Amino acid sequence: MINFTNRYLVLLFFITCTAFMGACKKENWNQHNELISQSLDRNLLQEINSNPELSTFSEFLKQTGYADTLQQSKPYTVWAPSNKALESLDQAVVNNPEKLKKFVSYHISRQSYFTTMPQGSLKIKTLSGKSITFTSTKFEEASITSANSYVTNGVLHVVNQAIEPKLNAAEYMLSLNQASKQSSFIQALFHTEMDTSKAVKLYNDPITRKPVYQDGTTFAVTRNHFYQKVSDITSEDSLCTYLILTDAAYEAEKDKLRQYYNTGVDASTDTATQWSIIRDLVFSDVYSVDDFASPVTAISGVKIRVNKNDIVETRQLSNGVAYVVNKIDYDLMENKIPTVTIQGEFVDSLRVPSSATAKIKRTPSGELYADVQATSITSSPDPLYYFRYKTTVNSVKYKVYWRAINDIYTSNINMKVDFGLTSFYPKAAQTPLATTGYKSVAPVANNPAAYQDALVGEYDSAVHGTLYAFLVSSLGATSAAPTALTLDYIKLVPVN
Amino acid sequence: MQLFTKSFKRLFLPALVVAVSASELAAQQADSIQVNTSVDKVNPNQLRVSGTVKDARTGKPIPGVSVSVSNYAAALSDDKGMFRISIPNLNALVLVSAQGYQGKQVSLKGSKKVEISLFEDSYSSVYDVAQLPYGDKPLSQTVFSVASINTEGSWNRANETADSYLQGNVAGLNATRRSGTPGIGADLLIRGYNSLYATAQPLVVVDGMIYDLNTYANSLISGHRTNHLANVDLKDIDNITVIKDGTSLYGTRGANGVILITTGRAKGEATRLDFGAYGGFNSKVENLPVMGADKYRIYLADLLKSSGSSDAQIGSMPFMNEGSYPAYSRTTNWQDEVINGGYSKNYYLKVSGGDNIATYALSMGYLDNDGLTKNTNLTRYQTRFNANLNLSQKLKATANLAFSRAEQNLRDQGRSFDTNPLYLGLIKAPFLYPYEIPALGKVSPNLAGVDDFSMSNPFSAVEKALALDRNYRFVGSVGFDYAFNKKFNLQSVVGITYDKIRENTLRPKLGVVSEVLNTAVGENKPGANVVRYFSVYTDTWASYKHSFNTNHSLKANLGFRFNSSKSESDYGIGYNTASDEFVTLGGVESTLRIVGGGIGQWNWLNTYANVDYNAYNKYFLSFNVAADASSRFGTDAGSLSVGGTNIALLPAIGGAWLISSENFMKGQKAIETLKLRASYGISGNEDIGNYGSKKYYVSQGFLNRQGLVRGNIGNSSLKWETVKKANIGLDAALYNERINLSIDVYNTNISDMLVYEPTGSLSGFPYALTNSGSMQNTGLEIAVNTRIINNEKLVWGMGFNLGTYKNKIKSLPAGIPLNSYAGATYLMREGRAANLFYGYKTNGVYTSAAEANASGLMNKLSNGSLVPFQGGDVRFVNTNGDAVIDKNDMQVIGNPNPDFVGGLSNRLAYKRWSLDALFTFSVGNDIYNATRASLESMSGYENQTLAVLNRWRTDGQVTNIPRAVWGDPAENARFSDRWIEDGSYFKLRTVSLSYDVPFKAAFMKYATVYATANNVFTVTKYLGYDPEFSSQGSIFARGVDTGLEPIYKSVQLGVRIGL
Repeated sequence: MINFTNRYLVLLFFITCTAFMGACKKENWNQHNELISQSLDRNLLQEINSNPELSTFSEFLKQTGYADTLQQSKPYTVWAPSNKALESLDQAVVNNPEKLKKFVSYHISRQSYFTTMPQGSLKIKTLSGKSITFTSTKFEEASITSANSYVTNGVLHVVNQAIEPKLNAAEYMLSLNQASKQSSFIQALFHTEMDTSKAVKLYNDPITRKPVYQDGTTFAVTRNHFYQKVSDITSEDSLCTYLILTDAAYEAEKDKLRQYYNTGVDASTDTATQWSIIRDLVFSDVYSVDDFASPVTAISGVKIRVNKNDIVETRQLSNGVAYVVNKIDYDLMENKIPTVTIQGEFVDSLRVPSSATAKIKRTPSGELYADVQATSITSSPDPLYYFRYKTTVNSVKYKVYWRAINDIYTSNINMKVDFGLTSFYPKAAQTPLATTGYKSVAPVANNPAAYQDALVGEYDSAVHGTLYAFLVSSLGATSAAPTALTLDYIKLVPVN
Repeated sequence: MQLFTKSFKRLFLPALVVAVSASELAAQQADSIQVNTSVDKVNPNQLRVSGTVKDARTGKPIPGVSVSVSNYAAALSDDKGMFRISIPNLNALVLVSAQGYQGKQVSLKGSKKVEISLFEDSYSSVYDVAQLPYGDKPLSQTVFSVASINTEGSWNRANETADSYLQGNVAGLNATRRSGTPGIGADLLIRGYNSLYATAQPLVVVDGMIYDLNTYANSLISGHRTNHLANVDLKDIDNITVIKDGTSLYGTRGANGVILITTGRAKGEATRLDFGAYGGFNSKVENLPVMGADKYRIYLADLLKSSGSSDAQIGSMPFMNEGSYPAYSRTTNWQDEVINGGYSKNYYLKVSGGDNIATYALSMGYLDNDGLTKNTNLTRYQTRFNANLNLSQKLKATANLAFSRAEQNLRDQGRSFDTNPLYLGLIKAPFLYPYEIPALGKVSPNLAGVDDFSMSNPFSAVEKALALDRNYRFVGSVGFDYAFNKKFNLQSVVGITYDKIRENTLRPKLGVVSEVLNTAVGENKPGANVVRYFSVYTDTWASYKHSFNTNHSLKANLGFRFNSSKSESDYGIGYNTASDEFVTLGGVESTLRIVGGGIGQWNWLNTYANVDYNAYNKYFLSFNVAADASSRFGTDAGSLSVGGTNIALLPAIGGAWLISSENFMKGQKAIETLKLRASYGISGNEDIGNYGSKKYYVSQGFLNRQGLVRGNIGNSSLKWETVKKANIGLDAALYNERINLSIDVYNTNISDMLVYEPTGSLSGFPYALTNSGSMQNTGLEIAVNTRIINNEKLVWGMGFNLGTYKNKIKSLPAGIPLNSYAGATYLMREGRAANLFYGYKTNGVYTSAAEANASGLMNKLSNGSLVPFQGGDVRFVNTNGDAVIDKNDMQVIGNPNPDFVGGLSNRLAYKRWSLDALFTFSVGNDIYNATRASLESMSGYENQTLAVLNRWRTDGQVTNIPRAVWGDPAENARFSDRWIEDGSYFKLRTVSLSYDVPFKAAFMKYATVYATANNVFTVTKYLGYDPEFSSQGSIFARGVDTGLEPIYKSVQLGVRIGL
């Protein structure tokens, strides 16, 4: 009898052992890893499908194929318009698969964005390629009615309005009838070029010296000078403010600026004038109407004012804001028509007896400057010794200043500035260039005024374009009375 | 139970009376001696005892039992189990022994008729003989706290080492297996930590020779330690005796207790052959639940987002476009790639025999055991030769020779984040693959390199890395025993130990992150390391024994031990050989080669004496004393100096009273043995460093010149740590030994404790070694051994032991800083345990930014900056109310020391079957789960556990996992109670079933078949592979799970054949 009981004891022992074996560790971890929110067991699609208020959007997801996207193991944020919001959606969008796709993808972005994240507002790029503005309560203009439903692959917000994708600055400009002149000038700047960024270079052509690339690694691409050189207003990655001039305003600007861009040839004068108009209309950030009451600096560096009353239309864009204006206002001189500064050390060409030296120095007050000097000039040949500089000027009258520091000799140095339209510097017998005439530069010792810039003359530029400025050495230099060339900068200040 | 209490009361009163009126008692004793001697002289045959000997199991009489009274008379039992024997007096002990049965020392308790029942010889009882340094002694007569295990080879536990075998078997001995690496052994702690910076491991003595367990250089293999005790095959071991107190005989090496191991010798002159063969399977451990590719990808995107990457940047990452990048489209379970199950093989042969002049026992063993990490295994060969020689009537000699060689393939473990396959297997991005996958999608046979996240390929870390440990140890000794006469003996043991460890390592270039060095990038890194240890050991002693009359006996020993040791370690590491196949140090770039090492030489002289006194076989007294000199002591150490040498004088005294042998216990049938013990002793710990008491210089390079600079502040008063142990114990055997019980209460006071005392910055050294700490351990141990069912067919025995202690720092020098190890911080303060986890308490996670603001708290980061808490940050508890969470808010968050540890053993025997099950447990110890801390810190590319799915995302979310932010700028993953877990466990440590095959064949004596399962289950709340590990022996590494190879389940089938 006892043995019988014992046998059961042994059995019991074994059963207990086996029971323990399975139980222990997994259970601990399951408890530790237990999902606190059940929604973390679902993906975005399941979450959307489980919400009857989003059945229309869910249907759209299925139609456009984004249903698959939302099941992927990558995080997304969905701003799903409720059924009610979608009632007001344009049927043209619903019935056009292309547009619908654009619409749906405009409500989905990569990564998880919670309403706690925007400090103010966040610009988020959606799968449509367009950016949206997200604040703690709003998706673009729509209000978020149910926020921050997080699931395994992202977060879902429900919004109360169907938002159609916005245009970007370029698209908006093209869509405008009343600003066709600005638009058509920019259109005219499209051109074709070879993209060599992925090119495999084989060798340099021995004759042309140009690189030769492997076939198939370069591509012909259409690009626009304006987008390349001023600002790519088609980009969805950055925000800008864009001013669009009505045709009337555009014409008025052209008339006003033409005199300063006179190249002597009508066609190129016109192009230069128009370029000068469009160049100054892009601002790298979003500015309000009120901001323009005081001058705002455009990407080109020119400060522009806009009177509130001159704004015809304001348009929120996917990449910022556009204002259609019938007048812009700015300071003309030293702003629209810029001051030209020629830095002495950036010599275009030179003719001196020995090498010129550029140095970085410090004024007695501690300010750094860099200048160029050619010393020990002991003769005055024909043509004279000079530094040549190349610059671009408007067709306007300039006052000429220089800052030349004579820390070389204890006697004055005489120099002059000549201006020519070609790079050639004439001999004494030939036609002389426009000149400021010789001016003397006093030695620097005990003379703080020597560090100031000095007015040396005027130059009236007849044409817009390239100008050569020559810093010319004095006449009559001898080994007993040597001279020198020294220049920190020449400044051409436009004046009326 | 009621019965027990009653009898205890009855017992207690007389004990009290005795204690109060000691003088009266002495008078009575004198009387009884006189009476008895006179009787002897008149008629020696008159005083006789008769009795019967029965089998405790069957109740049947046992014929042929040898019954004797020491130095007086002998008899045999007849076929009815009856015997008659003359005795000198009624205090005499009747010794009973029979083949296959336990030996017993029967106390007559004043009666002339005794009934003796004998259990089988493996029964662990109070009559077990402890094999003490100077002779065997039954546990019923010991005065100190001693445990003895007759392992009998423990053939059913073939793959164990002696240290891991002890786990759960001895009360108060806490054996913590270091990891799951084969042969890695266990850290042993007898009665807790008795030192902070010196060794806390007990002294191990094998066959009378100190067996050095220290390692004299760090391994080049991360997380690895060579376990020298693995060189002693468990099957060679006959007996393990653990001395917990009164270890003064071993002087300044006995502070942490002594473990005496006795290996097997020939049991008779007949030739015996024992053969064992085992094969087994090691299972894999259960994987930790980390994220799969899909969840990891989402986590990674969130994390990259938090690092400031734009949507477009994240979207263009290859793993976000897995369709176009097949190399990023896999779903790899990396844990499966780096760990595997394996096999174990173990063969053993022992031949013993001899003649009346010489007996010998020769054994040979081979072991091959696969490790958990792929490509790791342990192979060991060992042989042992023990001989006893009777050279003349008076001169006996012994010889012990043992040689073992092990070769172990390992991989880095622990905190080697670039090369530890186990760690890499957890954190590696699951969408990657071990092999390269080119754009076309076909898997290449080439191993994948380091990935985009600067993470090594775990598969490369198991396939290409090299971490080989080859070691051998030779221990040889000869002993002589010359008997001048019956009273005087002179004995001596002389032996040497030679040990060598050779390591070769390679951190490969392929697939493993390169090391950034000062002047170069280290792409691959071969290393080699040789550690040698050589020691000469002698122990010579004279022993004296004398019985004054039949009631008084005295044993005394006087001797000295001398131990001279030498160690040397040499290592070299280099970088950038031509290829991963070219792994010699000669091939490395010469400017990047680093060589180093260390040497040590130390001597120890221990002069000792002990006296054991036994009166009436009831009262026992022991006195031990040792006078130690060591080359390690400073010149100004200690007060006692002999000839300029400083001496540590360490006495111990103990007494025991065998209450059950008193006449008044005659009626107490239930109480067979009852013994009260008390002891007090002083021992020491000389592990204070070879040269800490002297000034030394180290070489240093400066501006391309090599020079010598001071290496330390020599402390000429540096001395041993003094450990004073007081112990009161009770041993009892009740109900015919059906219940054996042993209880001990102890108090250990450690003074002159070694500490690194902060010095002024003017000294140029941050610390100096001084003897200026003190500590206390108080504890309780209980060991119970019962035979619950005891009949002819079925036997069920259950053993239970438990040890608990409280550790307390009593004094420390001022300004001791916090200790840190692997990210954990330990507090050491007076009045508290020595190694408390000290960190931040947490209280969930701020659910919103508003709530974080409302708390008004600022977060002081480790760079000193103050930042406000944000929604999703961990709510650290502010203790001082100063509106800043900083290191002043740290508090004690856990205690790595267990409340109690112990074991529960069961033995069921049914006919020829027997089943042994050993459970071990540890309760109340806290663990810092450093592995989980990196798996839930959410700061980088490391894969994380599934728990991080609950990470805080947005306002109002109630969770306990903080926000995921690149680099963890708010330091939410700092050392806090988030990572402190309860490490209590209850483990079915070993269960084994054995069957004695009935054989009739004459050539075969016996055959036994074993089936053993280890680590069958563990009940724990711990979230790691296993709560049992020990990454270092140091007290300041305890309870930190750095990610060593976990202990795994294994099964073995084996057979033992005796010819």
